[in-house]
Amino acid sequence: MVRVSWNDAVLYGPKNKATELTRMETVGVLEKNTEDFIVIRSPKTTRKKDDSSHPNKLPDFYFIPSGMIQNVEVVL
Amino acid sequence: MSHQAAVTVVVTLNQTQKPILVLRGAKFEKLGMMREMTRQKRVDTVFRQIVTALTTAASSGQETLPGVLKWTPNLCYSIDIMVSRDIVMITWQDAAFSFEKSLPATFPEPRKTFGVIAHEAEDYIFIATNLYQSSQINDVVPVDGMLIPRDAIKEVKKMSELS
Repeated sequence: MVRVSWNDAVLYGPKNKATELTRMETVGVLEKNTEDFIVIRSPKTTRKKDDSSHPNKLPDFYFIPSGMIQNVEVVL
Repeated sequence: MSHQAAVTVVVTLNQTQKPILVLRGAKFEKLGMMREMTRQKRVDTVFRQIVTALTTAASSGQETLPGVLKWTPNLCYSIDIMVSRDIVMITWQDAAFSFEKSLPATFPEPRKTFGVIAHEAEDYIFIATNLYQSSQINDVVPVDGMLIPRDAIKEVKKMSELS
């Protein structure tokens, strides 16, 4: 199992005048590590600011671009 | 007790020129010089001045400075300065997820987002995809757009360079 901390892109709009990227955290099984992505199987992804789940229904795989990743750590 | 409302920071180009921005607590006043600087695209200079002024306030022992400092990133949107007028195409890699039970054979393709670069921060580029002309400031301001992490960006290309 790994925990990936990463920064997601953010939509800017009249109701969300965003000024910073969204800090995310994905925990799951490291499925694949390529030049462009880390792929996580059985991922649980949360937005750090409100601890909300993204997406609401748990997906089977999450593709996190290498350029968004801040940190990867092994968790038990 | 908060002293934030009493904090005033004056931003000037240099000591001999008129103030371009006055911060009074949570409010700010935009002065004439700001528009001229916007035309000259000297945006970075403006923000350096803001940071310098706030840092100076910090060194003078303002207890509320952290509360003031957090206004800095907001200000760059409140004043709605546009960095460039060029329409660009940003090619970037977005995150994605899949509900397929087995690993998909193909991975997500990079996205292409078209718009105008409204602001460049250390860790992202803000591309405005919908703008309007404000008669109040006689300039265009972003309505919708996207903050894209810099390291996820593969290419930024002006539309005029596309064949």
